[in-house]
Order: sequence, then C-alpha cells, then structure tokens
Amino acid sequence: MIKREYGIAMRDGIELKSLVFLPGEGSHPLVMVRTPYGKEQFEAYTGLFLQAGLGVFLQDVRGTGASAGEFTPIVNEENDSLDTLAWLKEQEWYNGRLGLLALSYLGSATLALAALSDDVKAVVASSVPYEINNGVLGDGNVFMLHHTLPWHILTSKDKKMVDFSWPDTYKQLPLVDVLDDPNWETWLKNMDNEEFWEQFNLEGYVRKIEAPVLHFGGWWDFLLSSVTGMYRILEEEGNYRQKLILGPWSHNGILGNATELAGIDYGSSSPFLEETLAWFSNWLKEVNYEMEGPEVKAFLMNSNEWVEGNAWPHEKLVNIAWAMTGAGELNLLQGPQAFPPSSGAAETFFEYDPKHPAKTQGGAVWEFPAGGLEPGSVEQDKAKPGRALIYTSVPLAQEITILGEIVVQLVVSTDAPATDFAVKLIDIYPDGSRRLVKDGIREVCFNHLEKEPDDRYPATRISLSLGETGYTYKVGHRLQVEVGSSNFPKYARSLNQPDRFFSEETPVALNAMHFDASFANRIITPLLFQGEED
Amino acid sequence: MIYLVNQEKVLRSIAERLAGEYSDQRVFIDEGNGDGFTVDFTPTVPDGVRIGYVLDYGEKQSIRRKELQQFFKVKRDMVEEILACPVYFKESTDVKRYVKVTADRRFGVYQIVRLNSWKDEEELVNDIVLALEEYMEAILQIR
Repeated sequence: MIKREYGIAMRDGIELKSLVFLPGEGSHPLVMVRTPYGKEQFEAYTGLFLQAGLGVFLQDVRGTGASAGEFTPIVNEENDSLDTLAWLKEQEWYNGRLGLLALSYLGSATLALAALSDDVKAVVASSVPYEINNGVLGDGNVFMLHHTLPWHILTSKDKKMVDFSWPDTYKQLPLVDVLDDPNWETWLKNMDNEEFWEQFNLEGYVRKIEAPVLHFGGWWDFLLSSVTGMYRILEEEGNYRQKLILGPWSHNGILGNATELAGIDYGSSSPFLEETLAWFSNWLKEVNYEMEGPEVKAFLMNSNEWVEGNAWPHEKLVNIAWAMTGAGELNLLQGPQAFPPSSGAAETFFEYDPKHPAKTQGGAVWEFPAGGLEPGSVEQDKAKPGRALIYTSVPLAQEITILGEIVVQLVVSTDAPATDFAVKLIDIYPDGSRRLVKDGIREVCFNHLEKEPDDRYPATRISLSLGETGYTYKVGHRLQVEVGSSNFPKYARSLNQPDRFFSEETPVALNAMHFDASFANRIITPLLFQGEED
Repeated sequence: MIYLVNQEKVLRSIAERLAGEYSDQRVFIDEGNGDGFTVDFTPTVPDGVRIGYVLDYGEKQSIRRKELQQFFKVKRDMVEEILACPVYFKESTDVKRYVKVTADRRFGVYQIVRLNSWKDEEELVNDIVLALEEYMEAILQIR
C-alpha cells in the first residue's frame, strides 16, 4: 500500500490538503471523497478499497480540516473539485477512471464533477441535499432545526460543541442569536429569498449525471427525499444505470453495521459497504460492465424482508385513504376492510403554545451526539390533553404494508396569522405501546386574509407529506394519527406569526380541524399490493 | 377525490375502450414498435391524471427517447402553445394542466391534467379519454 500527502493549489492559490492511497505501483482507478468533516475519518475504510484494487483520494474541502481558505457551504465546490481533477489528470498513478463517494455534504462537494467530467465512471450517492427543500426546509416549508443548527456548529470555524446542550440551545429565542456564525445568520435572513438559495441548488448537476449511480436511503434519514428525488430525476433524464437501496437506517446508520434502531431489531444491517465496494469494483475496473438484478430493493420494517422492483415509486402499489372523523376515529374509506366513517363534532380545537412545543420523539432525526435526539420508531408519550387531536383505527384484521410516500389532507383553521400543523402516524401495538411510523409538518400563513366575525381565519384545506417508508402493520395493530402544531426541535417551532427566526414573541394560538360529510381530513397510504398477478 | 374511485377499474375501462394494455397500475396504448401513450395516476398530484407519450416503452436504454426529450425541450414554446399549458420541471398542484419533458421509460413526455369528475367513475373515464385524445392530437402536431 502506498500513502501520499499533497497540498493541491486551486486557481486562486488556496491549497487543499489531500491524501492518496494506492494499492501498489502503476496507475489505478480512484474513489474520491471530498469532505468538510476531516479526511482522516475515512482512512479506516481505505483498506477495503485497496484490497479490491482501487485507489482512494481524500481531500479536506476549502476552509475545513487542514485545508486553507474560508468554508462557505457549496459555493466553492464546483471550481475546487474541477481544479482537483485537473491536477489528478497530471498524476501518473491515476488511470482516468474516477468513482465518487457522494454521501450527504460529500456529495454536494463532488456533484459538479459527476455532471461535468467524463472521468467519472461510477457514483455512490446517499442523502445529497441538492436543493433547499431537502436540505434546510422540510416538504412543508418548515425549517429543519434539529440538523441544520448542529451542522452549522460542526462546520463553523469557532466550534462551540462544548456549549451545545439539549434542550437549552434549541429553545433559545430569538433563534438567530443561538449561534454566532455568519453562515447561520445569513441563512436565516434569506430563508424566503429564492435567489439566495439558487446558489445552493444542485439539481442542474444531478440532471446531467450520466455515470451509473447506486443510491442508498434510510427510512429514518431526514434527507431521504433527496435520495428518492435524485433517483427519480435521473429516471426522468433517461439514466438507465441506477440502483436504489432503501432500508431501516438513520442518516449516519447507513454506514454502520447495527441491526437495531430505537430498540427494534430489523434482523439485518446496512449492506452499504459491500454494495459500494461491488459497485465501484464493477464500474471502475470493468470497462464493459453492465448491471444485473433488480433496480430497487426496499426493506419492509416489521416484516423484516426485502421487496424488489424496477421502479420507484414501486409498481405494485394501491393508494388507500383513511378518514379522520369528528368522533376521533380513523376509518378506511375503501377496500375490503372499509366501513362508513361515522359522524362526530363539526370542529375540534386544540391549543398551541410555542413556549411548550411538542417534543420530538424519534423519527427521521440526526443522531448528533449533543442533540439528544434518537432516530427510529421510538415509543411516543401521550399528547397532553387539549394540545393535539387523535384519530385511531380499529385493530387490523389483515396485515398491511405501506411502501412509499404518505400524504395527509386536512381542513384546518387558526386565530393566528401563521402557524404550523404537524402530523404523526403511529403504530399502536396490541399491548398499548405507541411507536412512531412517520411524521410531517406544514406552515400555514393567513396574514394576507381577513379574519371572520368569530376572530378566526377561514377554514382552509392543506396537504402535507409524511415522507416515504416501508412499514408493515401487523394483524391486531392499530393506526393512529396525531395532529398538533409542533414537533420540536426536529422543526423550528412556529411562533404563531410569519417570523420564526428573529422574534421572541410567542402568542398562543387556538387551532382547529373541521369535519363534514365529504370526509376531507384524510391520510393516504400507498399499500403494497399483495394480490394475484395480472 | 382520486382515492374514492377504484383506480384500477378506471384504468382497465380506458384500456378496454382504447385497445390498450393494463399492467402495474398503468395503461399503455401501443402505436407500433413499443412507442405509444400511457395513462396512470400519480400520488404527487392527487386530483390529476398523467398522460404520457413514450418511445421504446419500458426499455431501459433508449437513445430515441433521449433524442425525443431534447426535441421537446427545444420546441418548448411550441409545446406550450399547442397544448395551451406551461412546461414545468417540478410537479405542481397549482395549475390545471402542465407538461413535463422527461425521458422516463414509463411515461416519457407527459401532461398532468387535473380533473373534477372524481365522484363518478364513468364520467371520469370519459374525461380521461377526452384528455388523452387531445394529447395524442397535439403530439402528432408537434412531431
């Protein structure tokens, strides 16, 4: 094994520190990692690649680790990665076949190469936040505090890791003052400024990737939508050499070998390393390699088995709607187990006080050590009376498997100019324990509307996504939907006004759901069709 | 809306009426050599139907399909004029109709049409067939 250290000068003279590991003399294909987290972290994995005859190139991105310059997320990565490749092309030990290990920010740091260079022969991608809606804001336009704040601390020159303590840091108001970091303040100031976020939008690069891509996504990864989103974009662009693997892993857990998460044993660990090694070996070493086998493999939690397919969303799905009623029921609107939704109250109210937000318990959260959050199907506390609305199904007579994106439609109102509606889908076990399946949130702004005579803004239909999952509800289990207005600190809490970053005011809101004969409050689940083939 | 109708029954009716094939929640109407039109529902636009024009349907690798995508990108203005709706790059529930130019092997260049007829399956089938016929005519004109 040969190990070399280089300082590579960029076009502006800034030097980026890099490590090269080669399996021996001569020229070799390389797997590239560009990271803001310290290149030495990846040294532990180099042995696997070297044994397979692949070289490894590790680099600290600008302004991080041992590299010079200032770190500004994304903006320097195109030029720096292209300059690095130009330098590599001059090295006799590089044979012109490059693989990219594009994990999370490591992907943001190399996507330009994937799009613009013919040298790139293979990509392994996971959780690359290629646009604001899968990196900073959730689908419902609500700021993802749980990972964005720690990430800024992690990449800040003036690291305040020791000062970070759950829950005090997250709870501090105004949110802008939590961290003395120019990137943090700039991001919050520009949250509604589309032009500002355009500089971080990497979708254009994604669309240009022609190299084969292996995608890895975790059901408990907060960036899962970026994984399936990238797969779908490449499908749209006709990239036919893709493989998508989805399983019960958290953001960091994709790389790990645990079989258990939040106390649930799924019976198998992430196949990331072996799949990655095989992907790079096949595409970087064999010039005429063509992939075989299914394009999509998805792990079904609780049935603990893999389902295969050739498309995502999976081809064998049926969308089934469940109605939430004013009587607190969750009733199937169609299908063999359906029965008519009963009536109940025309409207039900709950209070949302930003000083006492509902605490995040599990789900797709970042396991940042000091953040105090645990990803996965965590057991849920009962919601405090009057703070959330609950809808529960009868025990299932038949097993069902949800595979894909869960969508919720609600008819809601509030007396606040802006608030959030947060939804959890829960699995109630026969012993009464309640475990999280998925959650989502949506911001609703009414400040452009006139209030009604009852001093409330008019009832409005909203739709929100709980994201994608592969989850089996066993016989005897019940579905439960909990509707509230916060999920903190996964999402920055609404202050019941349009501004949630610069204000310390926390007025209380009285929020409501409205019901009528159309049963417009629904949760729509894509169920894996288990029937006979056509 | 969409979830209150039997999607499979609706798609099978369309397949029967237009001599198409129904498989995996999608209708394919073969115009010859694996080129043709598709109809399916998409969860991202809950009250919409997706009508696609695709070459080499289902084939993973297709240079013809990639070329068709490029052709439609170049002809974007014409597409918008003839189909009387915008070309979008993301899914949207804000407009009644839009076109998305992709090289996807399942639905190719497609139009999302949002409909109001979700309570009556027969009426829904009629509306989808009408939208499909309009789309077929427009594609012929553009090509």
